[in-house]
Amino acid sequence: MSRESKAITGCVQAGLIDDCPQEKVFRLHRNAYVAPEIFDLEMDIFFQQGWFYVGHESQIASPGDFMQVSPLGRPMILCRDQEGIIRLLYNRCRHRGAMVCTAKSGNRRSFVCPYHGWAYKNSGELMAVPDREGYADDFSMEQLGLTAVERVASYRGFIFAGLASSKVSLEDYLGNARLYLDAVMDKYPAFTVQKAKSSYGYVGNWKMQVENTLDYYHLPFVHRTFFDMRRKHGEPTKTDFAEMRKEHALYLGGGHGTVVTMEESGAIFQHLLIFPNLVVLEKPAPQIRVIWPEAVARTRVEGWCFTDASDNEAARTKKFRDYELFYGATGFGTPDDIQIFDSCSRGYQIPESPWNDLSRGMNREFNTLEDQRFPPFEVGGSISDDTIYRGLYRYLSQVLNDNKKVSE
Amino acid sequence: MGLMAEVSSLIQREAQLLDGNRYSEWLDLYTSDAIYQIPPGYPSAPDDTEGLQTILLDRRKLEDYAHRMSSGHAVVSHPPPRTVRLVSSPLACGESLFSVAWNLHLVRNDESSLFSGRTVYEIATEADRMKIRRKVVNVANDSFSSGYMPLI
Repeated sequence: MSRESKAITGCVQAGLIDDCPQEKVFRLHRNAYVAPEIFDLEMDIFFQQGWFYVGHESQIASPGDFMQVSPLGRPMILCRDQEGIIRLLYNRCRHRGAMVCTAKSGNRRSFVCPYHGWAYKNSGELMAVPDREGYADDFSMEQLGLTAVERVASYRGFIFAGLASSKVSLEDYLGNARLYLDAVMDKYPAFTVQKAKSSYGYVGNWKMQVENTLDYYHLPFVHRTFFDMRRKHGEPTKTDFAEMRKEHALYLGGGHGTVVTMEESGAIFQHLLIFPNLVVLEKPAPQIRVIWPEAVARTRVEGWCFTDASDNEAARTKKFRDYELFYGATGFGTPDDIQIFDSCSRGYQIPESPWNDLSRGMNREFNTLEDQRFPPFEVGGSISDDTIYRGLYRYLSQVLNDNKKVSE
Repeated sequence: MGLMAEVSSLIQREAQLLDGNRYSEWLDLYTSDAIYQIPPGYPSAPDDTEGLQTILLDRRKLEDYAHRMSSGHAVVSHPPPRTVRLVSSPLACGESLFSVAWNLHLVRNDESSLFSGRTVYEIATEADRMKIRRKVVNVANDSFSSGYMPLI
């Protein structure tokens, strides 16, 4: 009897997942990747009501620095005003809707709308409208500043935002991930995001990139040519499953997770997912990866290399060369992942075969580690296991269901 | 053959070899100290040619690229994309330097992508043959919405 027709007792079948720990079964339904109504709910819950990442403080280090971001297709200006306050403003003139800033980044004290010349300070305040006499005496310029995004807050220089009001503080949202972000940032006292970015897109759901960024199981297959090249040059590789078993994938709760590799020196390196859209990768080269869902099957990804200001020139150059070689549309790694996303997206079009098996590692999970390098987490497994995906999709499924119940 | 005709022939041959996935012959068009570079900006500012690049390949990495693409194991080549490179006539722009405009049409996964830009070649003679010593490729596209751009 197939599992589809088998009665399941004591298991969670919440539409998206079939979760049965006692049978070591965990399956994810294709609707997670292809259903527009699921995508709309995710955008509402995680980007409207929740917190998401927008940029790093080192990218707008000086008063007047700005950069454009466009979560959910909404053009925004992330900037530091003349008082040094970080602002996230909708890039839309309050007069007739034109974007007041078309440059992608730069330094400006003010933004002037190209349509009719309304001028705003970089704090958002409307400071001048041409021919002021054409408006009533009580025309309120104070009420017509650029609209600010509802919530903006930083942790260790990482700037997060939310579009609607929420009672959840940034620190509560980060949860266990906060301590793992501390573990990364404590290594880079002068953490600096480089100006150049690698930007690419793909036809497919945003969560494929989230999963892929934490996936060591695919390395020997999808990235075979990259690791063949490293082996040829006598460089370390991470493709042996027996070796991978010694290292950890940790689900941190709240959708967050991290895969942690260890060097003989005792140093640990992470791929830290701060759900929904930020991954901080330390290997094979330092990258802040930002995942921007655009539609149920359209995603944009931005990659930013980070360095530490204390890096000497040789160390910095090595990071740059390693970064270029793997990441981005011209790299020797990313394009192979994108090709697989396309392939999976086609596979998800088959209603008759709707389930993904995410049971890898259910037989070897753990909840504690004695190693002091690891702050609290919810569930652990080996780095090639599906541990984080199970945590993430249990969380996602639960949140979507709760939200549905509220709206009903 | 005059200098410009010889340079033009070299550049056209490179485009043809890449379109034909003939990577070992393509590699042979480069000097032993060659550099292939895609700076991050467009047009690239002087300081764009230092620091983080979109990609920067020395001769060894060019060999790695050729090996990767001809190995049969690069997932991005399953199935092999089709490419057509159109390259303009070169213009001399300095000592041993020549500039071209280019288009790259990439067809893969039932979709097509168009890339375009300008390239400056530094040409040198090695073992009595004209070769490419440095190639700086400026890409006009803001982002790579298809997630992949092969070397031009």
